[in-house]
Amino acid sequence: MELLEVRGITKKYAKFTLRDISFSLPAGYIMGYVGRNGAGKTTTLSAITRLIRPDSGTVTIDGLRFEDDPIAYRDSIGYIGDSSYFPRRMTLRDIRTVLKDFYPSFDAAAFDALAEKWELPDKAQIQTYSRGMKVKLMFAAALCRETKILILDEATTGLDPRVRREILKLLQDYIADGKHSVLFSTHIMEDLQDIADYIFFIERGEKVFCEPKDDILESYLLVKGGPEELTPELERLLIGVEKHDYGFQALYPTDSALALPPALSAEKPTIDQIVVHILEGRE
Amino acid sequence: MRILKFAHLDYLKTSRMNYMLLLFPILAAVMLLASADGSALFAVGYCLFAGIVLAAFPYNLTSESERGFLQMLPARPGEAVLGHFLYGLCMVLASFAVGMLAVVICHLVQPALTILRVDGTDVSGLYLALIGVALLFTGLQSLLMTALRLENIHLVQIIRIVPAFVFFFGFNKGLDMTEAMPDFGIGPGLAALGACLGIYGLLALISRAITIRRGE
Repeated sequence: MELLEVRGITKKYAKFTLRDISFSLPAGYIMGYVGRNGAGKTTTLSAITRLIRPDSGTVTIDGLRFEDDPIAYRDSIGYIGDSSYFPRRMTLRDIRTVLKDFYPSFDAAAFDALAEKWELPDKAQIQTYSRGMKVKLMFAAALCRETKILILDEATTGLDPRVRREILKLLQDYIADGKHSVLFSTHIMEDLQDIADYIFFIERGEKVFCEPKDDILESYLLVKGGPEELTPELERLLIGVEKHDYGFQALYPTDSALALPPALSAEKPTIDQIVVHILEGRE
Repeated sequence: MRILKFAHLDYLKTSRMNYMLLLFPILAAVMLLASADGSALFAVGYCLFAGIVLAAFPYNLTSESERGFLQMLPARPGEAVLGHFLYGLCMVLASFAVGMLAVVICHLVQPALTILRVDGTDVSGLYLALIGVALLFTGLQSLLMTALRLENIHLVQIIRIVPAFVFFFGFNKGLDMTEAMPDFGIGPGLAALGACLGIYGLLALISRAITIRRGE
């Protein structure tokens, strides 16, 4: 069952257009939403969460559109931003009160337990929290109520590896029952390598690909060789050729009709390497 | 119900600034007791001035990054802005209440100070009219904050301060210019307050329509 369905989302700004973005995400899966700065990641996520209104296109979460029931729609989303979105002068106690006021499913005991586990001070203003504490508070706010989907916008950027690992584990626990999904925009491809089931790659407001991660990893090989091995015929075939004094490195599509010369070394690329070479190839 | 929740949220956001609500009546009381011909109307107007300034704090203290939290709260479009207006109404009423408390205390300390009558004239309705005018300035200020969607902090400060000062100096000038205070009892006062409340409600609905149009 598709939990999130995005169809033909378009949003025009003076200097940027998000063009006809479509994808779907089944329940129980994590999708990594990747692209470089300004590619349209935050605009897409903002259109899904309705922080902005798209010019055209539809988004449904578990079959529900924002226009059908804005309250139930927003209630079904747990959103974690790239920076703390809590009013900076509020305290953890204030946040708890607001969550209790607005979300009928908010579990105050679970929230307190997470706050205690993560050692979040309850009387200090949010503006005095460290980046890691702010992210943990956003997670606590999103995880302590009933949601259907978590939407993360660069939430792990700037966190130390230990906290990042802890958060990735939380995301895996969240989807474990097969009823929830996570849409995760990040620059840190290593995170996606570990937990994403699908990868959506966006560049200049347009979809480059959206496929299961394993299929993407199977689709390419990272090839390396000396300068003499890079024939014009091979260069036309390769993606994102990086030339150095001592040779080259590029992506090789595994469905290619041309066999790889045996002198070249080939290995499985990481998501990061695939993204970097595809971007170079497009330039 | 959610409008009430948004007003409560505004209160939580600004609660660390609201000590100012108590500072102004203390200053007003000191001025009243120190002056031989102090006016209770002036003291209450001074507190309402503070109410107008404080009513704008939720706008002033909201940064762009907070949209991810505030705009994601489950609510119908436009309910948050109605919450701001409700909070503004509460701040004006609270500032009036503490202002009245201050003049009553001053009257107990200095019985020569009259509150509801000035030189034998009934001015009780003027207090209600003052609340109404303060609400008009608060509503106008909130409408501007909503419509202009200010990100320029200097402009926000101007819109937060100017209506309050226009109110304060305006009514002060009015008090100075009036040689003989006309009779203004509870009846006309209630009528003026009712009319101003109506306009305040209208300004709230216009602000709501603006946010709905923007899809917030």
